[in-house]
Amino acid sequence: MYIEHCVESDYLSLDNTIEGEAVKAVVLSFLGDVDKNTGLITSIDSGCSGCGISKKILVVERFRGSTVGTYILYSLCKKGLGPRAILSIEPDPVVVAGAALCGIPMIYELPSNFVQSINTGDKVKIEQRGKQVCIVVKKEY
Amino acid sequence: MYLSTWEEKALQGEFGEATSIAMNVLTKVCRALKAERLVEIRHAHVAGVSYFNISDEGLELLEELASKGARVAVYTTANPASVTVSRFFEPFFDKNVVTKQRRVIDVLVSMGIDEKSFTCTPYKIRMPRQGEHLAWAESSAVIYANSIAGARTNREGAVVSLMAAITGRTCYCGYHVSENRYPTELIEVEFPVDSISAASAIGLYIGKITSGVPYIRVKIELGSRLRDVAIRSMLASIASTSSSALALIEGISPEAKKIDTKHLEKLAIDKKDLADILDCSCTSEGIEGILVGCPHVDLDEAHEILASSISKLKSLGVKKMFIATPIFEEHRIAGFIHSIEGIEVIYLPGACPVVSNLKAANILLMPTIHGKAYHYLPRLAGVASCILNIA
Repeated sequence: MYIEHCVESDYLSLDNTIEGEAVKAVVLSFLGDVDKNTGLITSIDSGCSGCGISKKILVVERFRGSTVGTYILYSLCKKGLGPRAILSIEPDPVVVAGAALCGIPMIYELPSNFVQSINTGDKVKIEQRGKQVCIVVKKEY
Repeated sequence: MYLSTWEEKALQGEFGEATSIAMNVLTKVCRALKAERLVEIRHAHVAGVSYFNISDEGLELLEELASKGARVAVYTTANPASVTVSRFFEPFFDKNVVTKQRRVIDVLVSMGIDEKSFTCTPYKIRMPRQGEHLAWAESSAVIYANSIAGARTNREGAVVSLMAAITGRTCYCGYHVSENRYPTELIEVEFPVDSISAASAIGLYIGKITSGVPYIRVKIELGSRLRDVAIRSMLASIASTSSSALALIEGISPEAKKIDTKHLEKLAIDKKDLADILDCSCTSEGIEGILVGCPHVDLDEAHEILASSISKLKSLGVKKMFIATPIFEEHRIAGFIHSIEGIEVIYLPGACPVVSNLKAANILLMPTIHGKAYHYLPRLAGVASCILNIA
């Protein structure tokens, strides 16, 4: 089964199609919830403790935490441990800044039911279609 | 979001890689904040200076930006560093930590940040003009600039404030826009304020009850020097217990003059409201050291506080007074007293104990007269605190 959502994006244009496996966190801060040396999620209430974000499509329902998160996300990317893209409902400026420094797309203002429907392990494809950016999620059952 | 020709060129890399990186981060953050455009700024103030806050990852980003040619485009000041740079505290810390703190300072200075700044009171170096747009991090300085100078700045994050410094611009939204600077309620303090600690307690309380922009009617009965410290301490306290960046103080704030308070909801504060904050006695076991200078005090202010509180300090058995002061005061320290009636006076130029690991220096309790320090010491420095009503 596929779920698809497209956004009109004046702020985003993709050079290449991005594909990867989803890692889904209900709540996440880059300071405190992610191990900065391994890229593994450490907090239980994230709903995905032990998941690695490296080279994954990181899907987050809600961000929390400190402005230091920008530095941690940037550092993970420098070590090759960053995600391929970040999808979220609300834009957290701390994470937006980190993603910009990493050069990875961050797509936000996504409908909450769409974000909630994505599970860890789903295959995600993010592609440019004209002026739209489309997220295609292949559900794994 | 609208970008000017210059901003488009900066984004495309015409003015170098570092400016392009900064413009990319800034435009993405501003878009997320729903800003319609950027606004040119006159002065940036960057935070994220303490190595304990930004750690290796922050230092790595700063050094990489510098290696790509990052230079500030406007006059820029910086927040204080951790206490590892002070003579008193340095021996308590690992050499590696002290060296990395020095590297943070050096890389910021290499980008053109005023080496004489490193204070949370940048308005003491350059007082902003009314209506001027700024990109300041450091919540206590932001609320002072907006409220006392009538300048316009949001509470910028550490990274965004640096990107704003490099591009000379920030997001045009929030407190830059006139409509967002109107008071949300009238707060009347029903008793005259006669100490810095009382002003701090009032600020902490206002922060808890304001819906955004308080209009404050308060009578401060202090000499001009301590009165200014009390106002700074009250504003810093408001910014600690709320996300507010502007408070209109009647008779002081330039923008308070044109406000008609008739239609504002009125909230009153009496002395009983502050009892919980002011009546705490800290400890029965004597006090090793107290903190003065949150926000930073200059040496003249520090000595007036010391002179007015000396008998109370003695009766409490206080052994040390730590004075956090701007780095531009460093050359004057030798001319000031270093102990008085058995109390050791320790100066911390360009440093901030609140953003430092004080447990490493064997400190467990740090009483203060300032609401901001009281609020953040347990959260950031790992030590207990209380407000001593001594000055």
